[in-house]
Amino acid sequence: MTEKVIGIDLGTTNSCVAVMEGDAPVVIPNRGGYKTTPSIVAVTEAGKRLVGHIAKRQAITNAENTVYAAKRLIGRKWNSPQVKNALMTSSYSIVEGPHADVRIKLRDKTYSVPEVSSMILQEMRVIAEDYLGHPVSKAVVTVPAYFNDNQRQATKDAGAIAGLDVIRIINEPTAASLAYGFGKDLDRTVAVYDLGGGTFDISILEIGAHGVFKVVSTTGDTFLGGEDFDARIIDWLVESFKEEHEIDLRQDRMALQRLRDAAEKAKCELSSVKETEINLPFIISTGRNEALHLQRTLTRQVLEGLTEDLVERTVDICKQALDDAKLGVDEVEDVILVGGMTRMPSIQKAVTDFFGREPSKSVHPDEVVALGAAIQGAALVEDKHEMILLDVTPHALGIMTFGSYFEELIPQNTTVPTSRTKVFTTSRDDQTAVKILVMQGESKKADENELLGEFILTGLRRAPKGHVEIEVTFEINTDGIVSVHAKDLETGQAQSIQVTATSGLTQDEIKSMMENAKDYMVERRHDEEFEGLKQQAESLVAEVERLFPDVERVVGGADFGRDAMSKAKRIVEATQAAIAKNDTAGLKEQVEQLQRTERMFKGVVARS
Amino acid sequence: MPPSEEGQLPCPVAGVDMRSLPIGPEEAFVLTRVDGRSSEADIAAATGLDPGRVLQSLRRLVELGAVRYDKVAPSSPPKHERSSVPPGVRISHPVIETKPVQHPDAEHPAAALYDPAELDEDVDLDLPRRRKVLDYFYRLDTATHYELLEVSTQSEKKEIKDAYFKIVGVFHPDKYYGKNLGTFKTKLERVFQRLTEAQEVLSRKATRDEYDAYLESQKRTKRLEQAFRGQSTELEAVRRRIEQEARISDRASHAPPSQSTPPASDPEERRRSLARKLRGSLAPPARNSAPPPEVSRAAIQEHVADELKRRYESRLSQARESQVKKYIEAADASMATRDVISAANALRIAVTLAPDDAALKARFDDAQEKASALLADTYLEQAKYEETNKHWAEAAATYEKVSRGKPSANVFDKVASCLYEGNGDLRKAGDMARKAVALAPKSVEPRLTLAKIYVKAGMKESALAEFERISQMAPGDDTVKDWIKRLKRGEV
Ligand SMILES: Nc1ncnc2c1ncn2[C@@H]1O[C@H](COP(=O)(O)OP(=O)(O)OP(=O)(O)O)[C@@H](O)[C@H]1O
Ligand SMILES: [Mg+2]
Repeated sequence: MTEKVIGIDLGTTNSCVAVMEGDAPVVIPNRGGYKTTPSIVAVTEAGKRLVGHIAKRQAITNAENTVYAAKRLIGRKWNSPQVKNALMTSSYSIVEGPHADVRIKLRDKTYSVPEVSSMILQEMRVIAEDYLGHPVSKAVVTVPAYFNDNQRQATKDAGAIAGLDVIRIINEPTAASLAYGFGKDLDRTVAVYDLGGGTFDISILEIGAHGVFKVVSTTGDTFLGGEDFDARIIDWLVESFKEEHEIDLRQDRMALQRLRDAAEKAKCELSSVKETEINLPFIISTGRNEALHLQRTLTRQVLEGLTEDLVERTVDICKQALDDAKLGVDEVEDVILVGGMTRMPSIQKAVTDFFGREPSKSVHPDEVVALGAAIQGAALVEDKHEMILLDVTPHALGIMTFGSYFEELIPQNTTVPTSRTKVFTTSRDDQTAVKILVMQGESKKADENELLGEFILTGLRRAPKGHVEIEVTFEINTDGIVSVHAKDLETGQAQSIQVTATSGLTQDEIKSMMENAKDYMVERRHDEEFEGLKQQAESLVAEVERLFPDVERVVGGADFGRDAMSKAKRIVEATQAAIAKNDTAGLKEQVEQLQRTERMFKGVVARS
Repeated sequence: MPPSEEGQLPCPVAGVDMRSLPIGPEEAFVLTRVDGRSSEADIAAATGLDPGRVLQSLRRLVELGAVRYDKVAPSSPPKHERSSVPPGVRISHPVIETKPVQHPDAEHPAAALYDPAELDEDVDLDLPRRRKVLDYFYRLDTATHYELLEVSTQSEKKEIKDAYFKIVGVFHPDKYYGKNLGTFKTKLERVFQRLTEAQEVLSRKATRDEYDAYLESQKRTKRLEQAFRGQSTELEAVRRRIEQEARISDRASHAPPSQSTPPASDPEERRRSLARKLRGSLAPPARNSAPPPEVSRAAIQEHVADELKRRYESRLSQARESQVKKYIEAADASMATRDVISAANALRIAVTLAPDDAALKARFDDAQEKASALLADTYLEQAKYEETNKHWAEAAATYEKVSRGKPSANVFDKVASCLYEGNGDLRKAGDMARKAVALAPKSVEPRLTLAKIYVKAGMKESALAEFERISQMAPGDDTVKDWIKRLKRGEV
């Protein structure tokens, strides 16, 4: 049997893992029985790493060392506006990395963003392994459709650090459409509206015969999601508190974290009720040891007013997607809602109004993306599924030309895989290197687009100017990831390319982070084993000690009885010593001894 | 062969089927421009070929008997039907019908296009699959979007989508995940890309209309090009038909002319038979009176033969006249539907059959001029489509064709910039850009193209000089200033 491939929806707020069982994908619940796991990572005072619900629970008391919404930072450059924004609002500390990238400081260590994401991926992997009962090494990971190459590459790096072979990166809305239409033999044009915690995507797809899912257009905003709705509520609370007490709650990390929590809770509640109470006693203390409380009522109407423009922005983006697809709104035959935010009534209403139809109720907004990823994974490695996914590149790819202009090579919404070649010539005699700046974006001005890297063709053959012609191929693969290769047209030789100025991690960095992650996993598996043994040992010890008086009563008089009892005492002591020393091997041995002792004691008591 | 002597021009030799000649495209191209009126220099100008190469081609064509040098009186009518414009072909010919040629290997239309050894590559694909990939891959440049998707030009959007969805599974790389595909990988991807382009173009009304118009104009120009090649055959067929008609009506009333007097198709032979005819008409009338006894048997026989010949000739000229009339009618009909190209083509045949009709000649010249302009317009549409779709090499070639019918600064500039964009022949691009600049020395656009070509060719000084000229002409342009700055700093 081919190895199972898991599908992971690595969300801004929540992550979800699914796997194909037979012909249907299923979501795998975590140990707590939840189908989604918060995308939160924390490091405790004792240096212990926490991921998921357990990290979320301690977020308020450990705000500075709890990372949430790391996805908003992945693949971004230090000087980007989004990072500036996160710097202002995050309760954890964000610092500049060595490649003008972003690092996160937790306790005394700094982590790259892919590393933080890898911790979540690792958690999802463990959830799957526990469920399946065997190791998992292959995964399909989803990303927002509007992610650029840097963000995709960084996500892939996160997978690698987690020790996962990410066999494919797919777009979240596309994955959702797979789960919606897989095996149903549909023939229709659908729109997928995905508003999650951090990003907004809209994709228009044609689903048709032979299991083909073809994306016609996709667009979005990678910095528009539930977090921004929460921020509006926080602003509202902070401002009114300032007016009342002249205190800026933002200055206090713990207060900020509590506000964040309360805001999200209120937002979710207002999806089902018309008004809710936000109650945060002892939110802050003033200089004179006097505690202040925050108590306010938020109505759905006020919330809708605070976030109206955000909802409108998503509608404008929907318009754009239809324009790009050259389709009229009446040609869309079904609308699929994805992401927790689509539970908000004002969003449902906006979508219904815009598309002129009620959205489909057939998919679960939190699970559908992971399900789709699992379907894609199975379709790739198993031949039996008739399914083809044709996705597009969300951004135009091009190079910088004279006067800092952007020369487009591959337009937006081109079906991938795709490639384009261009010939470069030398402009000086004996020129040995040519520099190409590759970028993605929609602006005519190069500096308004996202620089993917400087590709330097090196070691060119020496010849008079214009005599060396290098054919450079720009390729976007099915992951939506860009690669560039080059060959000398005359000699046909492949040309080496040096890539610089990317914000991504180097291979060496990835390798060392991978090693760290592996060490952590070994340690963690070891800790888990030790923890299990400890619990087992402790209950055995308790049982043995409980039986002690009875055994003494029955055989305490005999020599062999006294021997057995002192031996049992020694085992209990050795067990406690092994626990104290964190000695797994020793503990394992003692557990076996304890089991034998317990059996014997029980036998003695029973025979009496 | 030295350049032609004073008063001698290359002329096409009648009745030579161009397709049967062992010549290459360049010679064929030269041959199509040989019309008995153009000098080698004219031909070089018309074809855009180097004069030396034109001479070389002409030499070979003379060797092959397809072209001869002839003295031409300035007022004499053209020696033959060829001219600088490819004639149109009417779909319904007055005389012969064209039948589409059935492809010998209809099942694998591309089979002849690749080396079968390519099928032997060691890859994880079975033979039918490999064959399919190659069949598609090697037809990418010639097949239309419709042909690739195997849909008709009338197919609805839905049919096109279904056809695409059906075929795309064969060519999408995901179907071969983890398999060794060797050189088939890039082939698959190329086919996939093209199929996708085909579906996308055909499934949107605007792009499909554009594409249809492009195909239509391509078909038109192709027809014209074909007509070029088919010209002598058609003319031959008409001539044969004329002779056949003359003979058939002959047979109806008389014995057929003896085998020894074949119909005269060669002008020399025709002249000789005319001489004989004249001699015969001087002889005493032989029709109703018995031959005088003193006349020898041989003389009588000759007389009878001459008489038969005379009648045959007259029927021949009648048949010819009727064909000329048919062609003129066909031309009128074509003109009525504004099909200038077919009209010019029909008139061309008429003129060849009746070379002494000056009025007809004038009409033909007029139609030809119109056709030439129309053809240039058709090519222009085609070129624009190719340009907007970034098929640079094709666009450059088509713009060049436009430039032959309607030369202008803009068109030369287009040839140059398409060559530039498509990484084509930079020297030629430079020539074209210079032509454009020469025609419109005051406009900026061609100069900008030229300057960029200089940059690309590494001719920094020329580029700088050109940019400075542009900068004087358009002092406000920051991009040009930027170029100059960078060129001076040596950043290019
Ligand atoms: N009932 C609800 N009403 C309103 N908002 C909700 C509700 N339930 C969840 N949300 C919001 O949905 C967001 C999380 O959605 P989801 O889990 O789909 O995001 P994600 O997949 O983690 O993020 P992304 O897809 O953007 O990376 C959060 O902002 C959460 O507050
Ligand atoms: Mg999501």
